[in-house]
Amino acid sequence: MKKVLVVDDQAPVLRVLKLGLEGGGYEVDTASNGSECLVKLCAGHPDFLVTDIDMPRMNGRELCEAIEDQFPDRAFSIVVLTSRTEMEHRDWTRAIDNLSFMEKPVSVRRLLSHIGRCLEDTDKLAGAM
Amino acid sequence: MLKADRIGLVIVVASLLVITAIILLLFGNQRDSQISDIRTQGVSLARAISGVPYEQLVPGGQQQGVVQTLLHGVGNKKLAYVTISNRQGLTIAEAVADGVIAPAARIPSEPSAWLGHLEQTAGRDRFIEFHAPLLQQSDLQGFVRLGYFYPNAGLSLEQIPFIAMLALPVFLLVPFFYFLLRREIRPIKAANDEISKLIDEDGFKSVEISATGELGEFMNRFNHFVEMASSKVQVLEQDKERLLTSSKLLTYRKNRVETVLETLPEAVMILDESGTVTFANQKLAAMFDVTQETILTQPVQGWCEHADVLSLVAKFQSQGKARNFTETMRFSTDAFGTRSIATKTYPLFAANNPSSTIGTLIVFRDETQEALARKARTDFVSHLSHELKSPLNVLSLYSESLLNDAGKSRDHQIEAANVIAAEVDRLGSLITGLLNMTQIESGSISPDKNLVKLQDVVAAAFEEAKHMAADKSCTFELDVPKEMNPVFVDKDLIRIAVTNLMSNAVKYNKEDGTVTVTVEDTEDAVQIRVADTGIGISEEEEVQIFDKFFRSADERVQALGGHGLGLALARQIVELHHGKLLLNRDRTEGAEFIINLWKEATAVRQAI
Repeated sequence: MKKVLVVDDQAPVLRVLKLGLEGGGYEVDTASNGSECLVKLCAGHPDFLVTDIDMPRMNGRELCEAIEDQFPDRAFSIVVLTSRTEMEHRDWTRAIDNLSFMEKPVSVRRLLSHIGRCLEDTDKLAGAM
Repeated sequence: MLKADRIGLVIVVASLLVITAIILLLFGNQRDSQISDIRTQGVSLARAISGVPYEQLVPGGQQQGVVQTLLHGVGNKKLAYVTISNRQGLTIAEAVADGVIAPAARIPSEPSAWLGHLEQTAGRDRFIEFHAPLLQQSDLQGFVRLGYFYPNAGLSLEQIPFIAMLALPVFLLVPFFYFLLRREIRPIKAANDEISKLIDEDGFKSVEISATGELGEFMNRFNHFVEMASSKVQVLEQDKERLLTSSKLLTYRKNRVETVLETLPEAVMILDESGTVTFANQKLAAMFDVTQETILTQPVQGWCEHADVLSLVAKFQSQGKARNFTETMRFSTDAFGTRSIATKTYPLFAANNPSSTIGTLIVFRDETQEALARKARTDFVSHLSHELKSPLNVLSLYSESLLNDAGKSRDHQIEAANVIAAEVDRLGSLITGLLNMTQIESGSISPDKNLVKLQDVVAAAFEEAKHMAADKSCTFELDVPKEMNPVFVDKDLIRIAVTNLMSNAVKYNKEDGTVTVTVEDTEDAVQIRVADTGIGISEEEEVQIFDKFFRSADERVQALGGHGLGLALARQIVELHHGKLLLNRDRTEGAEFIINLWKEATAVRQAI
C-alpha cells in the first residue's frame, strides 16, 4: 500500500483528508506543520507528500526548500495546496523537481486522481531505469 | 557780461601787440637798410682812398687836411673817424668826430684780409670799421681806416610823430571793431540765454529773437528744428506710454500664467522649439531637489541624472517636433525617495498660427501614492481571497466527504456538521470585519459609545491577541490600573484597534521578544500603549505607516505578509473617538504605539 504524508495546520482538514485518502486505498500519515513533517521524513520517506502553504513555525515553502536541501535524492513527489494563484507566489517552485500545485478549495476526488497520476509517472520512470 | 569785457580786453592787448610788432619790424628794417647803406658807402670810400698815392695822403702838415676833409667834407654825420697809418701800424694822420676816440687798429696780417671791415668799440661807442691797404707799386705803405657809427636801434625823438601816426588808426579801429563785434554778438548772446532757459525749463518752444541776415536765418532754422524735435518728442512720449502700458499688460499676463503654472499640483516644465528649458515651476525644482534658477541656466544633464528624464528631453532636442505622448518613469530623488512619475507632453501651438508649434509642455505627475495604493489593493484582494478560500477549502472537503463512504458514519456526520458550522462562523466574522472596515473607511459607521471599564476591554483584547500568538515565543506583559473612571467609548471598536496593534507587535517582534500593553490614566487623556521589541520602523517610513495599504519595503516585513490595513483601521477607530494614535519616536528598540483618548475637558479645549 502506497504511503501518503499530509501536512496541514488545520486539524479538521487533516482528518478529512486522511479519511478521503484512506478511502482511496492509501496509507496516510499526518503532520501539523513543517517541522513535524521533517522529523517524520527523517524516520522514513512516504510515496507522496501533500502540504499546505500557510502554516505556523515552518510554512509550506520553507518545508519544500528544507526537503530539497536535506533530501536531494528523494523519490517522492510533492503537491502543494494553495489559495495563492499569482505567479509571484509560485516562482520559488522552479528550483524544486517533482513539485506541483493544487488550488484551494481542494476536492479529495481530484487529489486522488492527481496522486494516482503522479505515482504512475514515478513508477514508469523507476521501471525505465 | 564778464565774457564780453574779457573779449574787449583781449582785443586791446592784441592791438597793442600788433602795434609793437609793427614798430619793431619797422625799426629792424630801418637799421638793416642803414647798415647796408654804411657798408656800400664804407667799402667804396675805402677803395677810393686806397687808390690815392700814399705820399699825397701823408706829406707834411697840409695832408692833415685831407683826412679832415674826408671826415667833415663829405658831410656825413655817420662817419666817426678816419685814420691813415704807416706800414708798422703807427697812426700818421687822424680825423675824429666830436667826442670820439678812434680805437686802435686791428688789421689782420694776411694780405688777403687787408681790405675788409670789422666791428670796433671804444668806450661806449660802437663802430663799423672799413680798412684798406695803401699801396705804391705793389708795396704796402700803410692803411686807411674809416670808422662809422653803428646804427642806433633805439627810439629817437624824431621818430615819435611817425609812430604816433602809425598807432592812431590802429587805436581808432580797435574800439570800432570791438563795438561792431559786440553789436553782432548781442543777438547770439540773447539767443544763447534763451536756449539756456529752454534747457533749464526742459521744454520745447520757439526762441523769440529779432535778428536779420545770417543770424536771423539761423534762428528761423533753429526754431524750425525745435518745432520738429518737439513733435518728434511728443510722438516718442506717446510711444513710450503705449509701450509701458503693453509691457505692464505683458508682465501681468506673464505673472498670471506663471502663477497658474506654479499653483498646479503637478511639476511643470516648458521647452522651447530647440528643446531648451524656458520655464520650470517650484514643484519641478523640488522634485529634482534643485533651484528653479539652476534648471533655467544649466543644461538638463547639469541637474538631472535620471536617464528617463534625459531621454525624454533629448527627444525634443533632436526632433524638435512636439507631440502628445505619455510615459511613466520611476526614479529616486534625494528629497522624496523612489517615486513613480508619469509624464505627459503637450505641444504648444502658436496663438496666431495653430499649425506651428512654439515648444512643448511637459507635466510630471507624481503617481507614487496611486501606484502604492494600486499595488496595495492588488495585494489586499489577493490576501483576502486567500482568507476566504481557507474556510471554503474546509467546507468543500467536508461536504465532499459526506457524499463518500466516510459520510455514512454518524460520528463523521456530526464532526462535519460542527466543522462546517465553525467555518461558516469564521467566514461570517471575516465578512463582518471587512464590512466594518469598509464602513469606518467610508464614514458611514457611527461608534456605539458607552461608559465602559477600559481596563477590561484592553485585557480582553490582550488575552485574544495572546491566544492567537500561542505558537510564538513571545512574553506578554499587561499593566493596567486596578481602579480608573469608566471611559466613554465603543468597546468593540477599541478592542479591534488594540488587537490590531497587538497583532502587529507579535508579528514583527523578534524571537523571544516582549509585547507590553500599558493603560495609563493621566490628567488629559487615557493612554493605551502597545510596545514591542521587534524590527521597529525606519525614519523614512514613519510618515507612511498609517497610510491605507502601506506595506514596508523591509524584506522582513514583506516575508511576513499582511494587507496594510491594521494601522490605518486602528487610527480611524481612534479618530472616531476624537483621540489620537501616535508612534513613539523616542524608542531605540522595536516600536511603541500610543492611543490617546482625550478626556472631555481636553477634547473641548483642543476643539477650541
